[in-house]
Amino acid sequence: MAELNDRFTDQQDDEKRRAPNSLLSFSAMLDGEATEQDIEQLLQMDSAELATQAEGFHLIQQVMHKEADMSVGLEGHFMERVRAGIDAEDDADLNVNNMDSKVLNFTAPVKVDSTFDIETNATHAKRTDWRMMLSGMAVAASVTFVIMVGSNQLLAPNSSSAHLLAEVRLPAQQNALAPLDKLDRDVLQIDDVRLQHYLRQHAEQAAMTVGQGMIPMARVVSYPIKE
Amino acid sequence: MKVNLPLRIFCLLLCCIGANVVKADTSEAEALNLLRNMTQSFSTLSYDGVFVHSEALNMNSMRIRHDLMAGVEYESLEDLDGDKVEVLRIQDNVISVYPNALLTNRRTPLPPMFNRFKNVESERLLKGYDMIVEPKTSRIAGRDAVSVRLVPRDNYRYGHQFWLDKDNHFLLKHDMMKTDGQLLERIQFTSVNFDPDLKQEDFVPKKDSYSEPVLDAQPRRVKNLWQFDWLPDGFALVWPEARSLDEGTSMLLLSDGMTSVSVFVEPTMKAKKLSILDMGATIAGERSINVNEHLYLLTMVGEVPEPTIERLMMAIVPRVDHD
Repeated sequence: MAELNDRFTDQQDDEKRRAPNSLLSFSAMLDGEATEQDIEQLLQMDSAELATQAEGFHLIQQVMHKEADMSVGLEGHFMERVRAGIDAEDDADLNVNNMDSKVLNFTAPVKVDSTFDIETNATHAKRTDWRMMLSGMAVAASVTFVIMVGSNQLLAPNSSSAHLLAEVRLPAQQNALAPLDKLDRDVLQIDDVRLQHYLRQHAEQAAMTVGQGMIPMARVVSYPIKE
Repeated sequence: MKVNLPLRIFCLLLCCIGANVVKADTSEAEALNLLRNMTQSFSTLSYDGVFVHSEALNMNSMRIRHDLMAGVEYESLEDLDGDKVEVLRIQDNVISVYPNALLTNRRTPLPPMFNRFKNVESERLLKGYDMIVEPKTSRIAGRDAVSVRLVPRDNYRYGHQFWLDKDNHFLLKHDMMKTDGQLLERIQFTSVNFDPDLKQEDFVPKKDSYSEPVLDAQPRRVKNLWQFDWLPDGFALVWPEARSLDEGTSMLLLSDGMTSVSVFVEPTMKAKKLSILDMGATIAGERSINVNEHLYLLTMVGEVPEPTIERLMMAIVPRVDHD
């Protein structure tokens, strides 16, 4: 019996030891001071309780700041998404490293296409999403812990109101990059050599037609010189 | 007496309307005369001046010189701020010097080009613009100036305001504006000397101003295979023929007497949707067109609003009367 009591006491101590460690790591993450080791430890100890707490912290953060970019979405678990984000980031870094190892001396100029631009930025937004979530939480970490005391309802698991809040997502970033009415056309590039040639031809001919001597050719100097 | 009162009022109104019409006609005639004098002053006066060209956020100071020596016209335009671009004209030969890049020598295919445009195209201008001579004089580059405003009659062109030297009608300042009055481009002299001591050597490219000469192929006059279903009022083709550039490109030139639109057509293998480049006053548009299962790349450049370029690009069609 005493042995059993000793074992039970050891188990309780072990849990006590583990819980503060995980909270320390979690706190460090919120403060933006987490090391890779802290994050790995947190992810390995991804208990349902910890995840629920994290989700709750994040929802509070959303309510406080109303930031669309930081919304969580309904699907998936918060910590799982952090894990997925880190994995995706690692994959991206790996790809970049692979490119570096190939030593690309020259990158051909790529014509900027509005659709391509949007996709690129969307990808970029996806890649940075988890970082924004973490950094956003870190900035308001101390405030969040204070709010927790009086915000238990928001922290309650399966809170429908919390999930509704998490549903808000505005596509403002994409619209700012490319208005919808501009999506069906390209933007001509000034570094197009053929276009530069035509611009110079036009300036020279304009000088002959508008009766202002060679003054219209002043525009020629504002065109780039590439041959 | 009472019976005659309505008649009197009617006559008075008629006189007022008539006076306004006469005043408007006088103003238009005076404006056209000032513009004509301005055009001619560029080729008849000797001058050496510095002006500032500003467009959007760009600003460049330029030096312009002009003289008539032994019956030959010399003119030069030199960039004072940027890449030392220099454009020289000796009679009808235009030489553009781009330092460390190339020396381009182009001869105009339809001589005498400059002589041809020493007059204003009055009819075209009146179709596109209302003309107003401002009653007050102002002072530009230390000289008294009279001002002429060209207000566009439609949204297919920009507005203009010219400040001309009160004595010799030389252009001292020019603003190009959108129809809502927003300034697009400004040219303004800061100093000008109408008694310069210029020599032929002043109009020769300096030896160290370019790396190697590259001469463009001589443009040729070719039959124009294109026409427009629609043109803004006052716009017309400047040349009856097209101008053949290198690599099979045909060039057409449209003008309303004040502004111009250059049209470039060339065969292409690749379909291209409409693309637009906005450079302040200058708009460039590009798209491919399909004619009898042949693709052509169409490029237009002009100091006109974007909708004008877009509509012109839809209005170009093959000429029906060509062989």
